[in-house]
Amino acid sequence: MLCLAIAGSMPASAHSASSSYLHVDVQARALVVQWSIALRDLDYAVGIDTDGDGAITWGEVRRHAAAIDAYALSRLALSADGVPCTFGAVSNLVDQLNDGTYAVLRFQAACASAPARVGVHYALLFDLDPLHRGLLTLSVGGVPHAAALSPTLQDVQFDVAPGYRETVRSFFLTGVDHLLTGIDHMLFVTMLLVPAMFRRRLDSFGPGAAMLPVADFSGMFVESLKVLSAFTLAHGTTLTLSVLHIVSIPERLSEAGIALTILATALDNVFHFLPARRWPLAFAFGLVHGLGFATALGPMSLPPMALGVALISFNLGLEAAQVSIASVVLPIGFLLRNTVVYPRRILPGISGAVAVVALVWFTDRAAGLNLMPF
Amino acid sequence: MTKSFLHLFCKKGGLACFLLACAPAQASPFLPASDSVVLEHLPDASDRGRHRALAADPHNLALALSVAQGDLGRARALGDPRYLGRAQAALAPWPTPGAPPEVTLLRAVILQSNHDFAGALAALDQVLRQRPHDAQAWLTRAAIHQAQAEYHAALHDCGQFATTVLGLAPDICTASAMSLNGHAPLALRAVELSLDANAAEATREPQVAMWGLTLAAETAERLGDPSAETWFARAMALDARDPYLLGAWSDWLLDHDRPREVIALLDGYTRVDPLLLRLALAEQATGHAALAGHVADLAARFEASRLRGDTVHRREEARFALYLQRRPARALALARDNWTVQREPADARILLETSLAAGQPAAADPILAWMQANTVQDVRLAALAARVRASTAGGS
Repeated sequence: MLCLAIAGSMPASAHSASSSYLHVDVQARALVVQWSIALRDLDYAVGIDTDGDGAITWGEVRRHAAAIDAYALSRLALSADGVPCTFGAVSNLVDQLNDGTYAVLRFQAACASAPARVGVHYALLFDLDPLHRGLLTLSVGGVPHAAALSPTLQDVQFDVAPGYRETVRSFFLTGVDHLLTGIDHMLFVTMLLVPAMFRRRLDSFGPGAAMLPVADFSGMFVESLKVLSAFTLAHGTTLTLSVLHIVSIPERLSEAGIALTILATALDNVFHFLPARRWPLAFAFGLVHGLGFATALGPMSLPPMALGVALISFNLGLEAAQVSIASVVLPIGFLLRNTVVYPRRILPGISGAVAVVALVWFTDRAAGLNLMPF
Repeated sequence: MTKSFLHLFCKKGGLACFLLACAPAQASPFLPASDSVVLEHLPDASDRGRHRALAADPHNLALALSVAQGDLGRARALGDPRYLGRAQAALAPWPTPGAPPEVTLLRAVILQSNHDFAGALAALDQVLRQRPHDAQAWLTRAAIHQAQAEYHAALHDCGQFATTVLGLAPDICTASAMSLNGHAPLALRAVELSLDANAAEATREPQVAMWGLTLAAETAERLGDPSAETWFARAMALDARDPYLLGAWSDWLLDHDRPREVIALLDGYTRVDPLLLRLALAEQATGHAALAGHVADLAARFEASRLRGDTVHRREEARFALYLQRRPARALALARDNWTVQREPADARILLETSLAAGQPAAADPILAWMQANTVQDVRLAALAARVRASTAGGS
């Protein structure tokens, strides 16, 4: 008896408590579900470790799959506009999460109609562990909704009426965010912009190439927008192709390719070895950048219409952010274009520094070293 | 473009983004290669029988109490809060007002573990009205008052405890409160003497001995006494797997620039959040390659706790935010909230450290007041408090 009191007298260290992760993807007439439940919890509820050796093997999980599925599904209900959806066959997998191994249940729930309101009722484990929580995400048209389900919150409803406003807003912001926080994308755009206030003669190459300061700001701005739009167009094209799985290349290759485009553009700002016309270059390199999304966007299973809206919004957001960067970088460069220090020190200095970073990235990614933090 | 697309949601969408992108559930499910692959180890395989018996007979009071006690012990020994939930479930058939005192007592311990100190004290008062001499209720009450820095109340509780039991446990109870109200050297000496005088009890009740040794180690360290290391070594010899001891000993090693030993010590404890935190701090100190992964794990777990509505980990989260995320403002907010609930030396320390790092020395005023009111003896806290006072003076 006293032992317990002592236990209470000393502060305890604790794990994360028991949670399950329930993902529901709302599609036209079905809900696609992936549900991860800790094996320790399932063992407590249905008894998986039949030989009692304290170790749960895949064989034991497989033999109890029917019991696991029956137990879990009897404590979950999904509905579309108040009408229950019917669970289909479950495929059983496992997943190694940072706090233990989880059983993963994948299944579809067929609904009578395309839902305007999805209802979730969740009561897993609450009778055995009132501290258990169900962490739910419900994704509609790529837009996530979420809830933490508990003994006092077992029922939630989500309004999923068709309507692309939220998709447009969310993906536009994601595009803006991607440019502003994706360091390699930002560096590439900057490398395109820093020499924009000079015009290079089309037949002039090499470190001593003739670079003439432009006379008129608006002309330069429009020219830069063309370069950026060519980049976005190319990027958007390959992004779409990779999302539709028409093109797919290994992430390592596309990541290394992106580093290479930054390296080439930065070096060109100093040594002028690429063709002087910038928009074809931006287009060609943009194709490479778009491929970088192959792995990132792959798992998004959106209906075609929503996918189109999402991709267009994303690219518009990206373009908007690029234009904002141009609005900051270009006036500064324009004001400095007639100084000696900008073309001779600042421009080669920035480009050289970016080239070094890009070279390290390239080596890191091509060789698969993963030493760089981003 | 190494960042995943979904990850971008994380900056905006709170819960939704976390669950989509950062949740541990976003790892990739797989089909194990063969039936013999071991997926998980269960720490409680031996106790399945009693749980099954209780499921068949849920209103059996004696069985429910024994199951709940077993689960509470396991929650502490393994540092796994799912056993707190299981204990709570075992006691569920009894109504909240009007439950037998044994049930209310165990509920108080569960509330205390979830840092609902007010709820726990109310439950204990209920028990003590029915059983004024319940040793366990007095001892639990003392522990709560101690955690709230109510040392006079804790000493009173320990006194009541001592009227029912004599020996090592009440001595440690009293020494624990004395170690923070200006009598630390005396408290250290008292624990030492009592451990010698009650050697038989110490052997019979290793948990009591463990409590005493840990208290001695921490008190010695606060006094700047090098014997702390020897006390920790004795405690480790008794039980090298106790999560609280591992945390305290790791902190001592980190404070004495011995992070490599922490890495060796905590390698197998990455599931226990506070120990994973110490491991990551040691990895940071040594430039270990596993740091980034462990920081990401910790971020995901703290985020999951926040979504669940748990606030038990704010002390650790403040340390995480300050040292591993370098977000002093956030760390300070957490440390401040934490001090309103828990007031142990570790809670004081993180609030002093975060207020200095955030450039807001005034935020540490409650700590200075606590130290002065209780004449707290702690060389590290004293040094930090001096820096706080200096920067307050310099700033104004």
